[in-house]
Amino acid sequence: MKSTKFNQVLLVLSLVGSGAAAHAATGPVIQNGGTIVTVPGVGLAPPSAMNGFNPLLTSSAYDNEAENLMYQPLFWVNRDFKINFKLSIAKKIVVGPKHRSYTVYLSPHWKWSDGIPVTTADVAYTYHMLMKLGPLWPGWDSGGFPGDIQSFKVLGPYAFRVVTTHPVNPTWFELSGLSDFIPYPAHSWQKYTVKQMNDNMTNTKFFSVVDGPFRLENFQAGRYASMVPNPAYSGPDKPHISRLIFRFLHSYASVFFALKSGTVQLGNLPAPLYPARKQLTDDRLTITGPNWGFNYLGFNFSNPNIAFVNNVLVRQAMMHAVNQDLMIKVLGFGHGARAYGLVPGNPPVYLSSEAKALLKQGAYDPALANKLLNEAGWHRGPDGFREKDGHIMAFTLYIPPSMIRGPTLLATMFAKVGILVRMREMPFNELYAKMINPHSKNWQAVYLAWSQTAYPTGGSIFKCGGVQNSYHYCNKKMDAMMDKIRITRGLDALYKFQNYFTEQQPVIVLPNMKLFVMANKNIHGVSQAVTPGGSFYPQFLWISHAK
Amino acid sequence: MSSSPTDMNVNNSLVARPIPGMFTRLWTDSLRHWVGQYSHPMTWTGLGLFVFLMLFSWLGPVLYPVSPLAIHANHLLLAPSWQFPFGTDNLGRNMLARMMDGGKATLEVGLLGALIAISLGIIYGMIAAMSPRWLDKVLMRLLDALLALPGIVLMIFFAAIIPLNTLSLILVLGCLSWPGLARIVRNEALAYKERDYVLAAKQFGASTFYIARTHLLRSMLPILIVNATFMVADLILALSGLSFLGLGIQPPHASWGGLLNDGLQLVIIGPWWLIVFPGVAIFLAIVAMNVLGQGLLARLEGR
Amino acid sequence: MMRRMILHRLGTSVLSLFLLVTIVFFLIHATPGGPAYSILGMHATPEAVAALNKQMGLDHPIWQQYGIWWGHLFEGNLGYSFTQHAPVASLMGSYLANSIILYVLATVIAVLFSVLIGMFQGYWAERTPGVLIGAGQIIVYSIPTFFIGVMLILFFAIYVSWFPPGGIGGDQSAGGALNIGSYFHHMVLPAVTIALPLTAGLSRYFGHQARSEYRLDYVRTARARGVPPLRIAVNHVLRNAVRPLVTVIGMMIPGIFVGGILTEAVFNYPGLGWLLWRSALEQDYPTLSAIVLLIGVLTILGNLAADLTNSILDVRVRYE
Repeated sequence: MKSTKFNQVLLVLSLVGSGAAAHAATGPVIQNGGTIVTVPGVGLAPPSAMNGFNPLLTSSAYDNEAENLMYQPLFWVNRDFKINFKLSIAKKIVVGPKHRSYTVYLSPHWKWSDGIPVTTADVAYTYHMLMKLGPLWPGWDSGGFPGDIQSFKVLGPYAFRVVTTHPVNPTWFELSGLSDFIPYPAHSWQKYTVKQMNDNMTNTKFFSVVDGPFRLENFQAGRYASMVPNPAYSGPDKPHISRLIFRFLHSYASVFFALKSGTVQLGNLPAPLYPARKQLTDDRLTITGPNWGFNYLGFNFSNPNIAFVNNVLVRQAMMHAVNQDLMIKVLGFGHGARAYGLVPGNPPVYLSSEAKALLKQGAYDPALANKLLNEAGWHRGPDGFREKDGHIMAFTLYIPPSMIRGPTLLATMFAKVGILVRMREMPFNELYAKMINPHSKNWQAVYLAWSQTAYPTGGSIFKCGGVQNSYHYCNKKMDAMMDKIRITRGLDALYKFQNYFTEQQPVIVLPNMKLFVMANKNIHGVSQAVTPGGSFYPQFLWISHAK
Repeated sequence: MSSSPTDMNVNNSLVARPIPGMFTRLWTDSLRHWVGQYSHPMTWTGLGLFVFLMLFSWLGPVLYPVSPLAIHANHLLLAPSWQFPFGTDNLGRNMLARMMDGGKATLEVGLLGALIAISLGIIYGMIAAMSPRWLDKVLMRLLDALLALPGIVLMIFFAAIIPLNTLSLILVLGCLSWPGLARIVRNEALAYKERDYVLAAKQFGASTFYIARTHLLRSMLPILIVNATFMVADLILALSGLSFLGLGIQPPHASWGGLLNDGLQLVIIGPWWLIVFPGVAIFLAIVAMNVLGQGLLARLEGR
Repeated sequence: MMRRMILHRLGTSVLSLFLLVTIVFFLIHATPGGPAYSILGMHATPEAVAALNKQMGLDHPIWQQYGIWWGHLFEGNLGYSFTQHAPVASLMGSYLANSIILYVLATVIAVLFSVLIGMFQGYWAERTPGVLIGAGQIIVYSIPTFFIGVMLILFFAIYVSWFPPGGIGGDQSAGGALNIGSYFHHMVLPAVTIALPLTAGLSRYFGHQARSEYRLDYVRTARARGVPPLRIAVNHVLRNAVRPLVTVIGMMIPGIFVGGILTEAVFNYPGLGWLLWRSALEQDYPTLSAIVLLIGVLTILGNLAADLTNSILDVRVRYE
């Protein structure tokens, strides 16, 4: 008897043991409930306010953060830029043999929060609205919408077909053009005019019908926006927390103070305050990124006062003059990555082998920079700056606010090779106005960052006459390469293009810094919640109530 | 008979005789008289302090010729040491050199901006005071409007169209500050206008301009100087506020307000040298001018 | 006689207001750029900007826009902010409510302390405590507002947690009732920040007034007679020194707003000063015009009140 009991106990223990082992393999038990207070832009950018929630009418990344949680995308793209059909409204895409016809089948299980299923009626509504808004919609004329689309046809409640005007690269089109057909609640919104929609940009009742994991609960201008889980969410990865609050703070110092006092539990630690991270004793640091984009120095190629930038030797010299490692050390405290082309490296799924090699080797070579500049006919004058035919190699650089240290470093590095850089700081909208306004052609150089698309082409920025080509850069050979990417299948065209781009440096690409995310020690799932693509997935966050 | 002055009745001491060096003597005598009249411990303290700050900013770089722009990437955020007496900032720049550079900009904006404001204020105030009633009324209403203008709007307007360097800030801040002074000038001028000696001068045919320049201006000079000193202090304070809002001297050049702001952004890391030095400098400049003004005011009020 | 004077001053104040608003309107519309770039940001293209400008009514000639704006104003419509996606009136409503309470609190604190300090300074003029107070005033007046703000946050919100380090209270219990206690708790540090420089200047003024009062014959007689100092202070000196209070507060209004902008920026306090700064930077024309109109009205009303009180109290000034 005793031995039986002993055996029984052993059995139970072994079962428990194996159970415990199984538990240990999956990690701590996820608990539900609790509120997380955060700021807009975690893992993405310095904080700011949200002030609109209609995805058809807003273009700010902060607004998009909330919108992405309310409206499930047609294609849910994971961090390796592959489509995860379990989380997408679409369940399958069938590409025609000539790569012109794209038939998308929707999963029938998705439902709006009022019970109505998500169907192609919603997709059709979106298409209709985007065409109606035209240039007022921020994504207009990029990614093939609407330029490459010949026809859009609803085949049934769960199928629709888009036909392009010519054969296109399926991966590119799916990620860039087709992905714009996100279903929005037609039955709820179609009775409103555009003007009425504008008047209701922050009205929580207007956004009561959603199909994503969260819905908007409350909004107070200038103060906060709060979201709660959507109980009717019909997809996987339901949220664990019971409330998510975005507080609107405006300076990075105030985020630090808020983290320290516990007013905010999840936020970005601003890079200059990285040395103070130990003072946040209740928080844990997660280093994420660098993000899917690139920082760059852009020039106005049509400005005769800086005609020297038209010479590719000069641009290459500039690339070699930049000590990217030093910039990463000073600006990012060593946390950052080199970048020489427009295809970001985290994840490296789109990088050509040449790009990878260059990233490993680095391009900092001031001797080469000097040599190239001499070759270009620009020789050092008496004060050390290069001259040619009576002109000095100098330009005025416009900088957005709070991005001052990078350009200052850059100016020093350029000065070492004989290029004079004058800086001028101005608010973002003024900077864009100077760059983009067709009446103002006087700007010389800008220091900006660009978010790349899920399929990184040069697209509208670098094409001759591209809608966003305020740089007036025009290179027919590059145009041809860019066209090829959009047309042919596979990554070869992209590899060829990025190599040529790095060689030509139409903008001088600069290193990309990582981001420091601080989260309260009892918040888990942070590394799943922030992605390099800049997406924020708070449905993966959970709070453990015992520390 | 030649009528040279030396022929005049030499015993009549009421007659003015030209003596060699006469005008210089007059000048230094009246200067000495003024100094004696307005001397006050606060006046000297304030003046001395301000002169010290000016020497620091202009003589300093001559004695310590280090570049404020040079970046030392291996010496970031260092506390004061022999090599870097005021420490370094987060780009490794020498803070002592930056403080001298910033002092130049800050004090220039304060002094020259006040000068412009005073000049414009005097012109406008005088015109208003000496013109007919209806014109005076209109000018004063316009002045009210200008006084109610939020300076921030104007600053942003200007920031959009001109580069914000020392010169443009001097002009802009000067143009924003003159309304207050204009009102004082106009009120004082109105009060003095009715005085007997002015009316007498008018009887003798003095032109308006002459009266304004000679009599009115001289009478209100003390008040103007006192207000001028307060204006310098206010301008320095305003410049530091503008730097905080991103509308001050543009990088990489510095002003004390800008340096203070940069330091405050990093306050949590604890670099006291980035905050204390610019903060104390601004404080001393403003205190100096305030004390100077208070001293003059005390004498004016007969204390 | 009085009524005619009031009407006259009112009329001229309206003229000032009109001039002010006109100047600002043309100034902000003349600034290059425009709200379209703020709204579109990185996505700005010439066509998008043109389309958005058309939607916002900015493609009309400026005189026409000016007329339209006044027209809307008389209908009670303050316009629509395209950068913040809300009607200007509701924006101003919520931000203004936050600010008014803050500024009033700051003013009350400032006035209370100024009168107190001024009284002491008047009583002890030219003796050591008076001189010390005078020195303190100069010192506090000479410290930049944002510096005071950051130091207060550091000492009272970070090193110790007596106060929250910014933001506005009363909304953490989302969807619940306004938490009055939390609301005021968040206001303390910003109010002190605005109040300190004000107190420095105001107390100096009251100090002067008090000193003059203490020198008057009847006061000195009362002191000689042995009337308790407190009664002298309250009955005689205080009453007279406080008379120009309205005038002074009226003059202070622009200063409060400027201090408010810096303080709200430091404390992330969603108030009118902050809204003014943002809308100026983003070139949000309707909001900016409306705020300037408001500040102008308040300032000019303040001047008017000051002048009127002055003239009621001082017969000599009435000639105007």
